This record gives sequence, C-alpha cells and structure tokens, in this order.
Amino acid sequence: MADYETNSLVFPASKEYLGETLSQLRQYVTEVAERAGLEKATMHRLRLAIDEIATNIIVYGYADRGEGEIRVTTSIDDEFVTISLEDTGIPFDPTQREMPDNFDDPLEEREIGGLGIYLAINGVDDFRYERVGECNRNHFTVRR
Amino acid sequence: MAFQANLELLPNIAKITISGELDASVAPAFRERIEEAAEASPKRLVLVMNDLEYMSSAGLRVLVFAKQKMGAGIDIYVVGAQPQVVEPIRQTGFHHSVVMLDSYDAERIENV
Repeated sequence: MADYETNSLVFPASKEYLGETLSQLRQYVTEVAERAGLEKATMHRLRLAIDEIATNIIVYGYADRGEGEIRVTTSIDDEFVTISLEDTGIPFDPTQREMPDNFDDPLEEREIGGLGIYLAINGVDDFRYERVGECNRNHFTVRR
Repeated sequence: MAFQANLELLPNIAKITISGELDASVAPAFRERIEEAAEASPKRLVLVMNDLEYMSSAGLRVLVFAKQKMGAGIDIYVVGAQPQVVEPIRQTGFHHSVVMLDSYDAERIENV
C-alpha cells in the first residue's frame, strides 16, 4: 500500500537539552497522532514508547561522545502509523534486552532496569529494530 | 506543562503533589522531594497526581526508590492519577505495591 504521507525531522540528542528534546518529541508524536486520528490511549502509548527509546539513545547511546542527533521519520497509510527513530550512537537492540518478569514482587524488591524498554515494546502494535551501517533504527507501528 | 513537585508535611504524612510531565529529565527533582519527605519519617507517603499529564518509566523508578527509602512498612498512596499515568503503573505491576485512589479521601488518607 502506498504511503500517503511521509516526513522526516531531526532532533538534537544531548543530555544537556534532554528535557527540551523529549518535550518536543512528545509534541511531535501528539501532532502525528492527531493528524492520523489515533485514539487517545494509542497516542499516549506511542508517546511513551518513543520517549523511552529516545531517552535511552540520548542518555546511553551518545554517552561516549556527549551529543548527536535523532532523525524521526513518520509514515502514515490507510491502516498504520509508523514512527522511526534513527541514531548513530552505540549499537543497541532493545529487543535483545532482558525483560523484567518480576511484576508480582513487592516494589522494594523490584529490579528497576528494563522497565522503559518493556513499556516501549509492549505499548505499540509492532516494534522493530534494525542496524543499518552505523545507524540504529527503531520502528514503532500502531494500527489506526 | 513544566513539571512541579511540592512537598507538604502533615502529622505522620508526607504529601507530594506532582504536576506536568514527568520524564527522565525531571525525575531527579521528584526524587529529591522523596528524600526530603523521608527525612521527616512519615508513616505514610501520599502522591497527589491529579494534574500529572505524563509519566515515563523514570517516574516508576522514583516510586521504587521511594519504597526502598521509606521502608516496606510505609504505605504509598497514589491519588487521582489520570488514565495515561495509571496504565504504566498497572502494566508493570506497581499497583500491587501502592494504594491507588481515584480521589483524595481525607478520612482514609489522613487517618494514620
């Protein structure tokens, strides 16, 4: 099926401006969701998913060089909205991260690692990672 | 909306009202309020979230920190959270470890 809308934007990825970038990304996702007519709950999950992975890219992916960029590409067709984040930070495949499975444990005994990735991957209908050359690409797809 | 976290100390209770968007960039400010609250050794921690529009896993990690810092015996109340905030709390099973209330029930919350 042919895309009827595709666009791409670049956001700065530096810890110094973490708050600004995350806030702009959430705003961007909100606008995409509104254009695509996504349900509120879907929009919230998509925003959370992208915020979590973008945070990882900015805080860990570019940790060694301090700053970089995240290219965000959106495509909307009749059935799906896909937002992709592309970065050139250290290779990181979220799908290979061990997922937390201690959901019934008391809070004080909980491991805190992996929560964000868990929410990101489970918050969208399809999550895909690929490493292309020097780039990490994280693709988030939701059904319209 | 910018994130805000205000601490109020009542008899036996530490009440933190958080509003705006809670992501990784502002979670340290929330964590600081928790540390201040823990210094007062309250019997209960109440988090009022009616005006919290967004919470990522960074907020969840602060909840774990709160439970560890305060001690397992101190109940944490999460009050008035909007659906988009409740969802990540439930998805990760955190609702088993905190008391979730739809609205501020003073009789129930402040009767320690």
